[in-house]
Amino acid sequence: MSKDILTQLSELDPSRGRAPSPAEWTRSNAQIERIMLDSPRPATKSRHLPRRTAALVGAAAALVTVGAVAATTLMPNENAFASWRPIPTAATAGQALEQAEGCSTSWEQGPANPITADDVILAERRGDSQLTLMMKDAAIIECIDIGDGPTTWMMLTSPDGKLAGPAATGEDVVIDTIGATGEGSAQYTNVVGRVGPDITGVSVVVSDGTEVVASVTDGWFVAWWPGADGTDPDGMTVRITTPDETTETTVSSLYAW
Amino acid sequence: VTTNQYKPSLMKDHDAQPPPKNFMSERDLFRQLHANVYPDLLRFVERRVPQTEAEDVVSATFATVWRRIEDLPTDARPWIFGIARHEISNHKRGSLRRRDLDIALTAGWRGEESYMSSDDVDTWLDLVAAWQFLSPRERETIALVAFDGLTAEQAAAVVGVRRSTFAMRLTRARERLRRGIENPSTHAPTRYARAEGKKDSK
Repeated sequence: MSKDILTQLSELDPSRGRAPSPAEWTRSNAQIERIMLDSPRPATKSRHLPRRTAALVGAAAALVTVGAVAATTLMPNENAFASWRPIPTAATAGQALEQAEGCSTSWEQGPANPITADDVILAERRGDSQLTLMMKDAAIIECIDIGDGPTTWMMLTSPDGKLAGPAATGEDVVIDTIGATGEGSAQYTNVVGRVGPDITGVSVVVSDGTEVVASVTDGWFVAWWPGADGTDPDGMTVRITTPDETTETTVSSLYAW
Repeated sequence: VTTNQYKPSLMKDHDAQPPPKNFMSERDLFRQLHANVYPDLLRFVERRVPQTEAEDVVSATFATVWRRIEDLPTDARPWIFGIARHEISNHKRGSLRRRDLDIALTAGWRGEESYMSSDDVDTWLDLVAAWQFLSPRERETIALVAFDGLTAEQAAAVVGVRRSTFAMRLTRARERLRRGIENPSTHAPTRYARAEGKKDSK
């Protein structure tokens, strides 16, 4: 026999060369949408800091888990978008703690210990809206109140502890997540990332040319802005400032994944 | 409120690993998994159930994947195939035709060459004959590697055995197949294969 026996056998594969037809793709795509609609996972309603999940993924050190969900189905107040500003101001410690505590009440299971001011990494305000980034139980949680709308929150977990450790060194900048949340005119984009100690500023130049200045504190940066740019990162750039210079780079060059 | 976290571009290469789970919404992760795995999964299922029933099994498999998306390992394909294998077993238990999980060969030549030499024809016929004398488990063991394109480690994960156990099964199955091809007249079919052959001869 000139060929390996398994190679020869593969030529008798009953499905050799079989590819789904366009109709099969259409049916299958529709089916998975139906699956998600009919069987919403608990996380799509209200993600929590689950000890069970932490243990589960922690055992698989190579995996990183993400939660990126909204707490309710209400839409943000559009007036809040009108008050949005590209340059944030710092929220007070009281405002930050209040938002963090309110945010945690929507988790199905509360955190292992009560939320304290020490859990808060940073909190910023843009007009009537407030964003608080905190770390709890080795997870990073971003809570956003758009105006007087409901709190939307997103959780990043990393079983290997990377998110809990020092994130970036020197002039490093990494984007841990960027994406759009909401629907229609209520969509907004948010970005969460980490910076080294030599970084003094990060801003995102979005598709309409607006420069959105990120809040940068303790090795983390966050920013959000109205619109769905997050679904098309190629339409944005990131400006990175050190004491010596400001450089501009693509969003995708900073991905942590 | 829906969240659409940005994800890396789709990877459709046969051997591509699933996209990293980090920093994607579960819905987008599930959609991307579907885009990456569906063709392979459909082939995997169609090798084991009639084509008319395959879509139902694939759908049931994705429903389970969705329920267990938090358990998704880095190497998703064998994990999903393992779920599919379980669904196939359930499907067959529930059908009137209770059969073991088994794989048939194609009825016709599907090699890359448009014609075969007489030697190739002989080899092909010997292969088909030898395949029939393997047990269903031996056929599945070989099919996971030769048809489904899995490594021994991945295939072991699909059937839920240790890698060393699968490697041993594969070695034995290949040897029986080789003996069946080289010496078909003296090839001793397994008890199951004899029973199956008898049934087929009716």
